[in-house]
Amino acid sequence: MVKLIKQAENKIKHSSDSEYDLVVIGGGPGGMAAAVKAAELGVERVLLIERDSFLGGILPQCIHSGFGIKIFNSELTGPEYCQLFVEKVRNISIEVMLDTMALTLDLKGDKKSIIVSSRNFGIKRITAKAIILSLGCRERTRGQILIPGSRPAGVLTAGLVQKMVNIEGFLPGKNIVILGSGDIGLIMARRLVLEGCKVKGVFELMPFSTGLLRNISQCLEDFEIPLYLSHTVTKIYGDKRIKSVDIAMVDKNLNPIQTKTKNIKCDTLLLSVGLIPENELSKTAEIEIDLKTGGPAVDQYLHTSRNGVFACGNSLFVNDLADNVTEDGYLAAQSAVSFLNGRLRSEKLIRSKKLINIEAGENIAYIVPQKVSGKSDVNFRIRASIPLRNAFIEFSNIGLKKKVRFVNPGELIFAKITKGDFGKFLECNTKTASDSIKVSIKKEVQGQ
Amino acid sequence: MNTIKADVAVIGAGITGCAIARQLSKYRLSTLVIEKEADVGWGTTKVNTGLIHSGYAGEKGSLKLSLCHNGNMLFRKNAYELDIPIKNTGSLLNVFNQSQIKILEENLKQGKAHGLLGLEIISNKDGALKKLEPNISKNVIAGLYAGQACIISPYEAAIALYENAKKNSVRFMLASKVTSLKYEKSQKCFFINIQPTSSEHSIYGCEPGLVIAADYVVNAAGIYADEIAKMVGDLSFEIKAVKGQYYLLDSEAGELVKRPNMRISDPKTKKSKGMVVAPTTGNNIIIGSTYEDTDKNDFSTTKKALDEVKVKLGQMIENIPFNKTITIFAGLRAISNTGDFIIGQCQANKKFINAAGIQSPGLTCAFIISEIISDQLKEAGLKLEKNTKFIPERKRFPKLDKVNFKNNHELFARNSSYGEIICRCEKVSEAEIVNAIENGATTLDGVKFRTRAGMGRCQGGYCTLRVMKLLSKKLGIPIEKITKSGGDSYQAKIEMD
Repeated sequence: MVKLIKQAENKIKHSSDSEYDLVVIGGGPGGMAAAVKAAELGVERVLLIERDSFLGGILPQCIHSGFGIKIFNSELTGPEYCQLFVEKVRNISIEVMLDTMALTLDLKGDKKSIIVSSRNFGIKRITAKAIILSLGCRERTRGQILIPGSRPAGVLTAGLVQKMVNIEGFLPGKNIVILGSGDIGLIMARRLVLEGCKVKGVFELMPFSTGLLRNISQCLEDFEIPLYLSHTVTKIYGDKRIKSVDIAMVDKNLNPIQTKTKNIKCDTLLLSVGLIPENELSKTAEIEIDLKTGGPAVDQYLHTSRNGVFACGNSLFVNDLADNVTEDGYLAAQSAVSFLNGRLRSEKLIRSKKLINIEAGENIAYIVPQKVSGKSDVNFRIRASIPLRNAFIEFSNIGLKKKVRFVNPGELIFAKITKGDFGKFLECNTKTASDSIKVSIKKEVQGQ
Repeated sequence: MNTIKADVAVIGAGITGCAIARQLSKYRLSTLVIEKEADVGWGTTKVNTGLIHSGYAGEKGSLKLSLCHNGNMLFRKNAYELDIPIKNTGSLLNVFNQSQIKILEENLKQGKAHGLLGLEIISNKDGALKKLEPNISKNVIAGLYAGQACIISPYEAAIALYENAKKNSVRFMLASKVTSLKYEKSQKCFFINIQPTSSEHSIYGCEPGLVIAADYVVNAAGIYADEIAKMVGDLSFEIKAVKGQYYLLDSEAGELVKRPNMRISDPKTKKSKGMVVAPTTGNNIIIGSTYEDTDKNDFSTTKKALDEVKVKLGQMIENIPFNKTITIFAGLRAISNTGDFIIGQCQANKKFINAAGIQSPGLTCAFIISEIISDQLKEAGLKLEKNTKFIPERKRFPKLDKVNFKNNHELFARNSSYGEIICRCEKVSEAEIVNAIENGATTLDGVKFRTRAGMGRCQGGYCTLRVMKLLSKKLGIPIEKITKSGGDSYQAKIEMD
């Protein structure tokens, strides 16, 4: 499949002129969707930049199914989903630069420019009237969660192992311990069992899993892989190669309980301990970053703090499903088109005082967009920080409550607020000093 | 059985062994270096703050004190020749109470007596220290500033020496462990049995059952120096392993301190200059370390010790962003039972020269020690004839300019693989990685220490497979045989059908 995608891409040529209407950085599901939609909406010169030698981002390595239910109304594998978009890219007028790394964004002058590097042409400057960032995300590492012990080989992030197994064709080991119940970890637990490995367990620090419920059932339960909640790795053993790990149960403050520690032999420790939006490029252009999502702060048009620069996909916030990333790609493209047509006014939109701040309140890890104008309907994307049953989402200052039967950190919550609802806020806001709406998830009190 | 003859065998390819090897390459000798690790500088050398001390500290009459200042000067001269990047940061030794100021005054006096320049006690009362180090804590009342101190990268220094020594015909036997060593009186020569520590011994030039026959031996075996010395009957010293644990912070925290800031050591233990918060030449911040007696094979980090580092150094520097930690690691210092360096001929056999117990300021003293060792060899009867073909200079392979990308056009014109970025965090190109492999990197860590690929915030998530492919291609071995750091540190277990 990867070869097919590669072949398709080699046919796409790019010209030498380096001025574009729209440059999309990142050729994963978000970037492909954005580039295709922009071209469909009539943008003449669209450039899609991808650092790998094929389009799709991580889709080609996601050989499991579960893609496309929203977008194509059928359940596809990652490579299939990828191929459908690669076809779209091929069949419409989009220039593609593969094997090309965007190094910095330069937004200081009149023109927005991107410095890119490639073995094909060296380092050059590309200018654009609008830019969409669809940079993906990266995995948290052992160093960031500070697991003590020695530093042997065989401690690997789940996404890297996914690439090893599904693209390169080799296994990291035979006896696997997985720390963290993120989706890639769950998917890799099943994948490694199918390849003949022994997965000794998935250990999750929190008292709940951070993965999708469907993955827990289809990847762990169906394969009888044990999931241990409130457990963590407290020490790694092994000189050159990992030999074992200490696993401990944690108390409610997440501190390991010494008496509840056991040693488990393994030759691989797989880490699925969270993803972080890729924002190094955004930082080079001093784009405002939301510390909660780790990605750029945006308004309802996915417009960042820099005029004409939009963000989508996992570089905006980490999604559970590629379909959602694709939809955000479409939205970013529509906004970029409005911007190019002069319909999306206001310089530095996001910093404008006229915008309503959206604050993440109780039980919310993050909410996107972070700022809204209140002049149009907004579909909020909300990540709960804990699981709750019979809860409601409360929007302060507009007196709005939305019932939710069950929230779970593993599943993104969508909450649509209409222009009318914002109207109420804007009316009363002229009298009060507050310029923000605080969004919280609360438990329904019985009898209400 | 295969035997290789050498005039001098150096055991250990840390910074000391590499400096000695390069020093000996100035003479017409056949020098061979034996190292159990798959690369140079992987013992004590790589776990080091990288501070080149100015030379005010140490006990009166100790080698440490008497060599350090001249060692600093000699290091600078050689770093220039070998293109080892130096940052002239100076250093600060910080104190917390009035009685400790006395220690600073003693050090100042001692430093001046040894000819140090740019030594000054700076008070924090009038804000002078704060001006120098904006994040210094109010708890610090004064600091001893040493203008001649600077920072380098210890493993880069070892690699530079290795490359230059190799160029000057020194032979390196990496991934080769000394299993026995004895002196044959009849043949007036040492016989050293070595065993490969890697199953891919062909790429390291070692083979099972290989014997080195050497007229002289230099023992620079770090924490194992006492065990090597025992092989020739030298029981005069012991080496204790003392662990130090560190944090390494992301370059985003790189402005935290401008120079190494040392916390004065606990007067009761007097063990080392204590803990330090220091910038690195790679723009990271290194924070550590502890001082814990341990076993020679204990490289593990512990939460307890790292928490101690956090508390102790948090009292000296404010706002340390520990949430920007990239990695934590531990290393072992080689501490001799005399507390000082052990340099010179061993009593049991004068053709066996020790360079043992090399701990702080051992890095600073690497070059001066190498000169002493060559003098000692001469004294023991080795003929030192000048090598007229000696090339003192070594040039670093040019890296991409990460600040001003325009400067890279010339590099790209010369080699188009400069355009292919393999490590996204540190912006390392394929050209640099290929060069590292051509110059001796055989492992992922070897590439990392030469190019910084994999050293950034994603810790190799993006580049690991890309680097493995390049290693496989250039070394001519299958990808599943590529290791992280030699031995059995394979990244892959079995190839699938």
